Amino acid sequence: MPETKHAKEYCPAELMAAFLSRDLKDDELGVFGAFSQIPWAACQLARATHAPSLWFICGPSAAINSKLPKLMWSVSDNRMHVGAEGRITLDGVMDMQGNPTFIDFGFYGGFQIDRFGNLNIAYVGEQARPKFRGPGTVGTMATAWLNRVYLFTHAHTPRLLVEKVDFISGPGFIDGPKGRENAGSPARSEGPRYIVTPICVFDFDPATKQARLKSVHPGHTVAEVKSRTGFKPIIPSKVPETEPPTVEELAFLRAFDPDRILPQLC
Amino acid sequence: MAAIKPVRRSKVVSMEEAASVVKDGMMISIGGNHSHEAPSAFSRELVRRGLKNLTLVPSNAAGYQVDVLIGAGCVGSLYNSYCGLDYIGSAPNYRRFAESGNLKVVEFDEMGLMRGLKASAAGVAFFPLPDGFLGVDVWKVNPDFYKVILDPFTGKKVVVMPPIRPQVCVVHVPKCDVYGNAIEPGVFDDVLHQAAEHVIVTTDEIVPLEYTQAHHTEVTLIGKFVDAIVKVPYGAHPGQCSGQYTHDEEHMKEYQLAAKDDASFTKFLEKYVYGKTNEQYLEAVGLSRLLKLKYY
Repeated sequence: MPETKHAKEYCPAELMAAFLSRDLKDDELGVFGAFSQIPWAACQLARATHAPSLWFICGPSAAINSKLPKLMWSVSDNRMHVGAEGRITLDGVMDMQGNPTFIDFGFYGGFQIDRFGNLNIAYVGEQARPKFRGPGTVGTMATAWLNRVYLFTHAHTPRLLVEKVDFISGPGFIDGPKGRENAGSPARSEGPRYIVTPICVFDFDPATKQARLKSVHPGHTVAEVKSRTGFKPIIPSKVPETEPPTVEELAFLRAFDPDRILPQLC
Repeated sequence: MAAIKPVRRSKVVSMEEAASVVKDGMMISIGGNHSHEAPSAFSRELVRRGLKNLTLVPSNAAGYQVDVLIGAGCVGSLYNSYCGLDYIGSAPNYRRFAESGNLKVVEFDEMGLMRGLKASAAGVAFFPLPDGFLGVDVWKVNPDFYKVILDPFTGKKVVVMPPIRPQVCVVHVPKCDVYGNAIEPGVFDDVLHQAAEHVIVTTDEIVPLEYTQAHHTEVTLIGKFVDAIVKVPYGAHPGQCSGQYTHDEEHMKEYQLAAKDDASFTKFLEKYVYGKTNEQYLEAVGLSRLLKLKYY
């Protein structure tokens, strides 16, 4: 078997897109929202490689299987409809979100993520007069109950990765192993699968549902992850390196991103 | 006897006439999602009219069209699922008015907001939300809307939303005929207009009825339910209008910077909004910029 050739130079967002794409399966249906250049690139890369029958909905433009050949800053742009195979407005997406047999995976991020994979994109402090007013919960609450969810960030700081979010917009495991069940979780929803940051990937310990360091991106260290994370992740005795993009994956991502948006994200 | 040919009624009116139905204290819904299909010109008209204490019900993802009204002091409370300037960053007026306690933000998520509007559109008492909405935080800070009741069929707890019925709704479309038939590219606008009592449509172009007839399976806005149509070229600017022009990133950044405090925002409004017709607004933005935004 020929040895896989990995790219030598790439940006964090390219590695993140390659990592995420490998986890998407053929014939699945995914959904992403605004400011989702990395998920969009991941879906396109998956379709171009191992998952040609993958489906994806871009929520803000409602385009299904956009074939727009280049990444753009705004995924709400109507040009997402170039080559699309259909259009589904949010009313329809939300009906499907309520029924977890329809949508296999979603992606989201916010300004606080905690060790149980809970997401805050609403506010910090008192609701009536918050210390920090974020944009709002938007679709994260509903997306949280899809079959599985990928959290992604454009930064890795103790302010972003916190012990406990001030407000749960997108529920992860809430407060532990029973959290989702107590909140009435639909049976098929596995919850958050990974937190993918510019320096590492966390998964969740099956017993405690706490974030666990899965791999560290090349060029970064476990010690660095510890010092830049506001919660204490579970750290196994051996932490592997995240697999970098292959030469082929990177070639696709570069061709898909002629404006070089990915290197500007994180 | 001379035959009298009946004439079907056009709903096209001036911006001033359409906006005159909006009064202080009303509940107004405003379409557009992230940077597309925002009725921005209509928001600027409400700013010029100096409206006060509006309750705004935007789509799931509001931006400039809401933030400009907040900054001009027109808004008392906001039914908020999301307010931001797409990838450009935070909506500065929304943020600083909320953080200083000068804006009442009623906390929603997009499905709760959507289903409250759908309850209004369908004329039903409430609309349930799916499993999973218990044990998370939005309903805890907005218990007036997110009510936990017992499902009469299963006995299980369920979160339900009451009808949300704005008095006036405004949506923007690229094309509309004079009777109000249109294809809404906005991904939330179909529900927004169905939920309201009075519907105003702003449109970049007026198209002949034949256009509607040739695309009738795509029509989402049935003219019967439209009360007024306003032709406003570049009416979504600085947002984008599907098939016509993309968003104006430079203007959005200028806006974001200007909205950092009251004094600089007032200057911005003097430059672009106060005392300006839509044509004067477009002149202030500049022809070369507007042409650059055209797709093709």
